[in-house]
Amino acid sequence: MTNSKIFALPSDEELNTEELSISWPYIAAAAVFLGKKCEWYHNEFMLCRYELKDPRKCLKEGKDVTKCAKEGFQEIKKHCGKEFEEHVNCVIDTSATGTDDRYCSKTRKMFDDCMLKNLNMERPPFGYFCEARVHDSPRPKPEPEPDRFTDRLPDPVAPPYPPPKYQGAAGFNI
Amino acid sequence: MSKAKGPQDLPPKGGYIPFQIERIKLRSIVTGKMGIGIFIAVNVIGMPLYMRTWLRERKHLIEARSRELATLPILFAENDRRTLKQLKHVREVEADVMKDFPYWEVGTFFGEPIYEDAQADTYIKPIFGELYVFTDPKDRPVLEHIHLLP
Repeated sequence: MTNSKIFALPSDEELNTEELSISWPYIAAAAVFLGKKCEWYHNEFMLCRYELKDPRKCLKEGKDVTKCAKEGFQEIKKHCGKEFEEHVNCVIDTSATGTDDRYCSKTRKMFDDCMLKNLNMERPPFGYFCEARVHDSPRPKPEPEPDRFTDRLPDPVAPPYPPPKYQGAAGFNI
Repeated sequence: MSKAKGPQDLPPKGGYIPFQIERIKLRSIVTGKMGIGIFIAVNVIGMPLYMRTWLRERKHLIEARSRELATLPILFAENDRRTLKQLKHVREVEADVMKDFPYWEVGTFFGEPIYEDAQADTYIKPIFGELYVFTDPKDRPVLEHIHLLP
């Protein structure tokens, strides 16, 4: 069983976009720069996802994120392609997960210098993305959903009470 | 019953050796005081070394987490789109497969919804198997239980 016909799914035009055709170690190696460059889009998307809890309503924000990341990758490839490639190759060779760059400080230094020189992008400070952040979104805050119970008890009667039936012995065979 | 021949066995001269009654203590290599001393020495020498390694590893952990958190929006954006595409595909396939079955309604059990209390248009995150119901078991992704790995 899947979703019923009433469940509205977005059309193909809304879903199809140019995806990142690049593998995981490359994304992880460039993530800090992309996170700094596209910080507003990332915050907007994650806030939308957290608040609305519905990916159908955050498609536009998600597309912005992918588009921004794609632009970032194109810039890196254009200006620092060689350094980036070297750094990622080093990371792949030395780490099990393809992300850990602790043994690649040399290539990382070269990559960072190139990014600073050509693209004027500095590596964010240590633990920058672990910090809590406040994001001011133009999207209005969603209304809290009222509680709905199918077997809810009826609300109590307001003070001018009706007279009791059967002298107050309703339901009891006294 | 035959008669015993020759002299019987007698006790050795001077009698049997006496029974061992006193406790024989085990040969002790590490005494109590020595043990306490070794414990203190190991801790005094080892703790600073452990602390140094832990601080270095903690730095790497924080850096790795920072990198991972920076990656997540990019992955989530793609994952959401892919999930919705797959949901759409599965619904179409179900409508095609069950079209000749009488009284069958897509996404319900003969008109009875999966969740009694949720509205029909509520998005509920599908479980992994739900996305691959009409797939050949051989073609299912091998990373089905990846979330159980450490």
